[in-house]
Amino acid sequence: MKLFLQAISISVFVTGLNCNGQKTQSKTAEYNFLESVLRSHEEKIVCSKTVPLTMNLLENISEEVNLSARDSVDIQKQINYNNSSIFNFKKSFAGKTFLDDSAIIKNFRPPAYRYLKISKPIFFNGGSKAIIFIEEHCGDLCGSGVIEIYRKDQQSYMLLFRKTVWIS
Amino acid sequence: MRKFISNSPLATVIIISLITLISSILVNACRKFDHQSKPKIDKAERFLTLPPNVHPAVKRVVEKIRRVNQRTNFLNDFISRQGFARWDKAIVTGTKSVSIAGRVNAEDYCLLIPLVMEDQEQVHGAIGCKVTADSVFFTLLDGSQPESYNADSTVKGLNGRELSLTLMYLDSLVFGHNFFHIKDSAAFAGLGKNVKYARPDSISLIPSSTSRMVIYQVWICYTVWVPPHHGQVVGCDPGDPNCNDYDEEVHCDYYELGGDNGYEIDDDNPPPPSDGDSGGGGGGSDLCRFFPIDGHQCGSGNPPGWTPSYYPNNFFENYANQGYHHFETWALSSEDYEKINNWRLNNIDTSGLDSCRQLILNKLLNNVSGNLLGKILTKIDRANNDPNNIEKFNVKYHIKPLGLVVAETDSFHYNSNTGVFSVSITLDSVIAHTATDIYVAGTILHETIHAYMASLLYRIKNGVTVGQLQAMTYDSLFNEYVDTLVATNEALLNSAFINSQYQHNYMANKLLSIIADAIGLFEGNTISNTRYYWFLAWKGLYQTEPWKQHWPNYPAQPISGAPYTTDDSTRGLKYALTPSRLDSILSSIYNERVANASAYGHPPAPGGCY
Repeated sequence: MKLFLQAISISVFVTGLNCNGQKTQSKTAEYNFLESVLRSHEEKIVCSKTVPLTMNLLENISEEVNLSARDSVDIQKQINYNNSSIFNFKKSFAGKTFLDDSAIIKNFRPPAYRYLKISKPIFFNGGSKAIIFIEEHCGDLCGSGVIEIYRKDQQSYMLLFRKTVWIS
Repeated sequence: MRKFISNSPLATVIIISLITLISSILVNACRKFDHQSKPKIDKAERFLTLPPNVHPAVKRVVEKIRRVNQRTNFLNDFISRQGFARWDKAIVTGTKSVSIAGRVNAEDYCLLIPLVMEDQEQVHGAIGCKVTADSVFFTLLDGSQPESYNADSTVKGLNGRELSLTLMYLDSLVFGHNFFHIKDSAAFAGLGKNVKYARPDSISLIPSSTSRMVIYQVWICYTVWVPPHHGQVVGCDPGDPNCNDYDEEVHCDYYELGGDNGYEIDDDNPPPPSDGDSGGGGGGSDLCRFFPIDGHQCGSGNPPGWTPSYYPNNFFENYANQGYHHFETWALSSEDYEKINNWRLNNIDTSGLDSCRQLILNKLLNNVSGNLLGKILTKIDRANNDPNNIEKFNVKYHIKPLGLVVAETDSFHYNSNTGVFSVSITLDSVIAHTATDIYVAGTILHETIHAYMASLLYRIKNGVTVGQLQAMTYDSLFNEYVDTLVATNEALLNSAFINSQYQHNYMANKLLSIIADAIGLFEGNTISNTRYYWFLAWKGLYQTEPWKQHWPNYPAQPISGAPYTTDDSTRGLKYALTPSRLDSILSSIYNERVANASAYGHPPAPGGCY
């Protein structure tokens, strides 16, 4: 019964991550989480296309983070290996402007860029924790990709762990 | 008779003499037999023997020398004074354009061929040539007579110092020497100082495409070391940790290596030399014609006024304590040289790169000034008063599509038991295949520095508490990197967070000049506006404190709120970051990235190389 409920919970999150406009509880959780994460960054532009959080990326943190078997399964079931999707936020969200790739390129004079790319967050441990991959792009040879894990603390999210997986 | 033999001293002497005589005859007979059994090795033929796979232009040169030698038999004397040609190390450069006079064609070649005395590991001289469709033009760079170049530099086209530097450069190509002891002041005259040591840092040999009179236009940059107490004003302050008893200076020279204008088409009989011509090379009418005629020989056969050398014992007297002064010089101890060489041979995997980008990496690893990458990484350690850890730094280079990212450094792995750090550097294939060579070289430099700084962070953090780390007395520049991290977020110390902007701040504050120098050395320092290298060194440093200070609304344009707009507001930087200069920096980087007509670097040619 417990596993069954967990499976339902996962499916709800997956549905919520599709950004299909339905105001589910999971959607609200995702919105709250993303707003919290995005407000901690200075960048004003975010790419509307998500960057995938892959198993290869997760392998980077296997030595530093001891996830329980249940958490690992939880994350693996939700992980998006190859596909990127689109955030359907209207115009702006969390003080950021969401633009597609072509609009971002038009918005800057290369090599001077500055924007974020983020993955869909993955919630695990019964929704009390979330993992996300964030890329910062700030021009030629300026940028990084970071995996972050947060823990929900009442209505806010506390940073538990952060690892740089690439720098430029 | 028996009694005579046994008792007479005279008889004994006679017998011994006979035995000696017979033995001597036998020995000499054997020697003669041996001598006759070995064919005499003709030095001239040896001189003219080519190794396999040499450039066709080199074959043309040898054919010409062979024909002349058949008539004048000059080679054996020449070899005794100048040595043998190292055809395998010949520099061959194609000319690039057609002259208006139509005498120099696109298929012409310019060559510089080192000459080495038998059994000596030193370049003694060189043959400069221009190979055209109808003839071969020669000149001789005679290292044995630098004083004649000093006395007649206008006619010869170069002085003794420029002669020595060019031969030192060839010596580095043939024997790998890169540091030289000046023994004869005539070999390094003209600086107004008694130079003790010299090192060619970069050379640019530009083949002349406009005249047969000129083979190469030569730009050569070099470092000299001048001991104190020889008249220079600036010496070492007492207790100066940067003092090694030598003043270090960097200079650049330009000269034109002249060809021989005495030849007509396929004319193997040069005009006689003028009175008093005692050899030497260069341009003009009274130079040694290389092919001596009766009673005229080229060169004295004396050794050059310099020898390959190691750094003197007291050169690195305060090496361990120089701190950030290490970034102000390319000098390294022999121990560090050895470690860098081991790293180059054992710790670098280039199998993930295509062959053209491998060439760029190899040029950074095997520059005439040494291993540029290895030197910078070593100096990052040394600046922190750390031992050189480069032999525990494994790096693998790749090339593949990365989207909008120019290059990335990833797959950080530190083995706390062995102390070995492994990392991967990937170049974006789309950009790497379109950008110029200096753009790609700068990218490799930047990313490799990132990778090494990451290794340093992993190494220092291993098994160390926050308190211990904060108590460490590192050089202040290192504090800017690690201590800033600790002070900002102590909790992050134990995670594997590498803040790329902290690393970029470190680069902007301390490494800009050495990165710019390395790009210049890679490129050959042919760009007269040396600021350009400094501009390119800023690539990627757009979120650093100095950049944001001067461009508060980055990346919005136009720049607004810039606090310093005059050229004298350098704020500790080499040049002021005025709004117009910031614009020039970005434009320069962009031009090199897309390899447009304004770029100075070489764009990829068909086939992807440069």
